[in-house]
Amino acid sequence: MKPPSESKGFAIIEVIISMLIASALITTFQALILGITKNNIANKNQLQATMYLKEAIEATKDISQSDIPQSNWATLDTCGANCHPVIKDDVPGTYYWSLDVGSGPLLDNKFARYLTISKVKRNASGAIDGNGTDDPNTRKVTATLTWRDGGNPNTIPHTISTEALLYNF
Amino acid sequence: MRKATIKNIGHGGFTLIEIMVALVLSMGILATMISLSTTGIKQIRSVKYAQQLNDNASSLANNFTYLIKQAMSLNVSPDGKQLEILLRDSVTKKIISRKFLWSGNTVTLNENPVLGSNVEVTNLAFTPMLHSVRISYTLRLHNTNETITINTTVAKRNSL
Repeated sequence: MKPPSESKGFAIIEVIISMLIASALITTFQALILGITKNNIANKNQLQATMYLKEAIEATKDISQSDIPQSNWATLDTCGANCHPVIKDDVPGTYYWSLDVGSGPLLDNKFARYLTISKVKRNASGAIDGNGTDDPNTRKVTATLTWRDGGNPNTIPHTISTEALLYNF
Repeated sequence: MRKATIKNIGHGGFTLIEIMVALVLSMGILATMISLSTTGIKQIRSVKYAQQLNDNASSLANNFTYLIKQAMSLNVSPDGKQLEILLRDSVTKKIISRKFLWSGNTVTLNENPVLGSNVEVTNLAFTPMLHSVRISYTLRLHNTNETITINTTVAKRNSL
């Protein structure tokens, strides 16, 4: 670049290059901020999702211990491959967990939650074995939760899942 | 001593309009950078706040879970602000009581605060179920707008 004393001001190419560098810096910084914001939202959603997932498993544990006509061990077998936990209040003075078939409404307009409850087979020695016979007092429950950060339908959904065994003592 | 040159007079330096354009452009870029920096710093702080909230929310859930799992029985007050957990002492076999109470934006366990003083519990409700408790709470850090709402359920352990 010639010193300004020998050429009048900057050439247009120099101005354009400066602007491009400035734009690149600004764009990079903006992307960084956007990344931080997205990460922030993702962390919060992750914790809320984990708690909802845990709730689904705990609801089935509640049902497995309950002994009212509306909610008991047999209720678990109404789930099949896809159900969701619901709080019901049709027994006066009592709230209880039950299961409704199919996926329920979105939680917080964001989280889709469903359960799968299946029978467990055991062999002659009592170990869980796919080739054994059905154990009437054990059920395997799988809870799955799916959501999209920011509620944007174009983003890739997150899915988390967990399993537990329920025992009919 | 060298004589000062007047070589550039008449065609060197910048015109007023060039300086003004350069100033306007510089100001624009500077304003954008300052705005972005401010937003960036706020976001970085926000991440820190969110992390603190997440840690506190998890900690509170763990506190509830630890005691509810061992409960002999659970009693929720009619307004849903207090959860009393009755436990059997494993040594003396006596029944002991542990009370979670939401009052004045704090949660206490037998009158001792459960969370740090920089966290407010702006909402907490216990709903008694047959063998579990549904817990909903909202935490907020002091002097920030950062909040997190948690809904979860903890069931008692199967009694053998």
